[in-house]
Amino acid sequence: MTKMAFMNAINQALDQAMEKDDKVFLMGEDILGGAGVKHLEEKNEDAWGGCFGVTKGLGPKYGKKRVIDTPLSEQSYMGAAVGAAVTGLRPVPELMFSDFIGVSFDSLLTQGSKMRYMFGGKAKLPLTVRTTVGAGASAAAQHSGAYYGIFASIPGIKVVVPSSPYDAKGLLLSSIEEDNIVVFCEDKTLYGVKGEVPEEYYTIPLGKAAVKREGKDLSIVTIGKMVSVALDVADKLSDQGVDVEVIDLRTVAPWDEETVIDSVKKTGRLIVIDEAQPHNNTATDIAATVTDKAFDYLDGPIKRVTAPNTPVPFATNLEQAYIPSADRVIEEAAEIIDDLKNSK
Amino acid sequence: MATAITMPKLGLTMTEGTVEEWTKNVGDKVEQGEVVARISSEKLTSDIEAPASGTLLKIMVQEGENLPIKQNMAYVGEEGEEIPEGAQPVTMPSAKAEPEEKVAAATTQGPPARKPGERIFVTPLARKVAQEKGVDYSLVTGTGGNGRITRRDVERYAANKPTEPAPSQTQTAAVPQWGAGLSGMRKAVATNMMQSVNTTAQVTLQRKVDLQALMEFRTDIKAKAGDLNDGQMSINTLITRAAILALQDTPQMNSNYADGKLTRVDSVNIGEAVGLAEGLIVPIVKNAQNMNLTVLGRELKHLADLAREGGLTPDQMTGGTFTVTNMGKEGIEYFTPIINPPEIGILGVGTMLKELTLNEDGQIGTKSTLPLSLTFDHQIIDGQQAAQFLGKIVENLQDPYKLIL
Repeated sequence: MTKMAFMNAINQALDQAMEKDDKVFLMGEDILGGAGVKHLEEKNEDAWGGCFGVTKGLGPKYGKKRVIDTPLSEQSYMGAAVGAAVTGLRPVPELMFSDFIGVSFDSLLTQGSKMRYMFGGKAKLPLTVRTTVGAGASAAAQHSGAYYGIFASIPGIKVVVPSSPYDAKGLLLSSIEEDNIVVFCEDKTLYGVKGEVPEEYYTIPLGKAAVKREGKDLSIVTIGKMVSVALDVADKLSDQGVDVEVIDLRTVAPWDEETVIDSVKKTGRLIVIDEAQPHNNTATDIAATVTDKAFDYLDGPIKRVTAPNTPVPFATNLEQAYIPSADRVIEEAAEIIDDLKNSK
Repeated sequence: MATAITMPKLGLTMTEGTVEEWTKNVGDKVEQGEVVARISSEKLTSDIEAPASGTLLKIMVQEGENLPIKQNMAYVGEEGEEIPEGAQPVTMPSAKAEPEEKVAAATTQGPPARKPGERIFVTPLARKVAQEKGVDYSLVTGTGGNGRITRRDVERYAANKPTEPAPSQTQTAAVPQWGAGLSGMRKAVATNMMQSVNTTAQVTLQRKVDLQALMEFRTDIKAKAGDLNDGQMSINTLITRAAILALQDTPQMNSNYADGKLTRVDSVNIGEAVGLAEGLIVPIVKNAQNMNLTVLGRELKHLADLAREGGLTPDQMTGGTFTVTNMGKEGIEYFTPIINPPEIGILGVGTMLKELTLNEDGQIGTKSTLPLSLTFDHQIIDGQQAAQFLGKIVENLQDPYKLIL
């Protein structure tokens, strides 16, 4: 175990995946840094390592053929990635911000996600799109969305949203091993978060949630950086005698129904925290599924705490108000929390 | 404008408060925040502070009087100021009062304050748990959001349920649960016993019978009558006969009480509890007052045999007025038998005991005694009457020639 930052855990996962399987290669804007710029190339091939520096060091190690700097055209490199995947390679393209999916969606939505189905299972799509999500970096509306729910609604695409350095590495290695398209969503505000990460190669199964904290009064199901908000809520309510269970979904598509429903059967109450906007999102899907499959175990309405139905604000104070916080969760879900307080 | 002082809501369950003391009088000057009164609720007491500075203009609730929460108890304002007629309180004045709850919650004691036909909100889980626990959730007060009933409300209610439910509740909620999960005879016994303990006021009196005379009587009769094959001299037959005679002497004991109706029965229909592997069964000897020991012994034996074979007709198991149950074989001395409703009494017979005696000459001897336990329904019979009735049974056994009259 080594204490390392979230972004370094991702870098290590990419390194180990490339070392293990020479079909794995990276594509993206500036991920090599300085490629094609003569004076930079002469000085240092590895000037940037991508917009956030996540791929730093991989260029010199694996060379330009496996760490490919692309033109500023998501449409072209995503199309190349789908083609490479269906013809036998394991591309790991980086989409700088999930907000940019619009320009490259055709490759993923119209072609990639349907190929395996339309070719009767004969085509494999071992493609992992790494992208960044999440508000909180003052990056304005075009760079801050949490659009994992959009990908999660498409059959043929798996969606992973890690919450810790340990999960980031294990889930990324699983994603790269996966023979279907995976959109791997890295919250840019978590890049600097440090945690214990094993040096060796390991995987964490996709579609399996993690119970971060056990409790018997109330379940909170959440995703990505909202896991720390949920744990904060659990701490605050614990002082008032409310025993909260926190579930980290880890994978948004498919999401782990079994773990969530078992938890609701135990506690009878559910809050879902989702940083996405409130409509047609993951939280809504979870709430509807639990209502359907565990109705008789519910001891109150399911509460969804999400971002408001607006683009992400640029102003820091508004952006902070936009992101669900522990206090907001406690306030918005008061209806199913208040009577639990000091009730024993 | 004059400011009202209102009764604060000091907790979820508070609906009214009592004014314990006014620390200021009408006409006194008060500063904002100054204590003007002390009030109490069922749980706690609290100081009431003046919501504004001025003069205490009017006190509307005297010491010792109650007032619903949020109602005006006094006014503070400028001297000579008009007091608004029927004005509603504006704010909660006491700084010590808890912030008002977002969700209105009803009281947790007593039945919930709902209007007839008002919709009840209950969570799916609470409804399921209520069903499992046999709780009528319409009697439960909801503390969840929107006043809805939660699992915890049902569990709290079930845990504090009154032991003697009101008759209407017994009919609607409790009865269907008796014997739940059981079947056949076990269920019948369970239902019967639960009905018994839930609808009667049972008291058990215990008394010892000296069997000296009865044992001599048996020896005497057996010597004179030769072989007796109908069980007429069995202790059980003799005790049953003693009880029948006592019931004839005490007609109020020979009654049925059910559904609020007391019926005195002319014939003595005596039940004899028979324990089977599947459960307890009580065949009834009808018109037992007309039977001598031979007929009675024969009938008791016949019915007990039928019970063991499972051959009793419904008529042979209903219409009893009193039951005798014997645990002597098992070595039990005194016990507290449970009444078999609609009967109002049951006699428990224990095992025969040997006791040392000292006669007038100082000689040590032994005698046999028998412990008897009489359970009666105190709703119908008082202790003294029951004691006299038991006394008659004892007399009949200690003076056994009465048994053959």
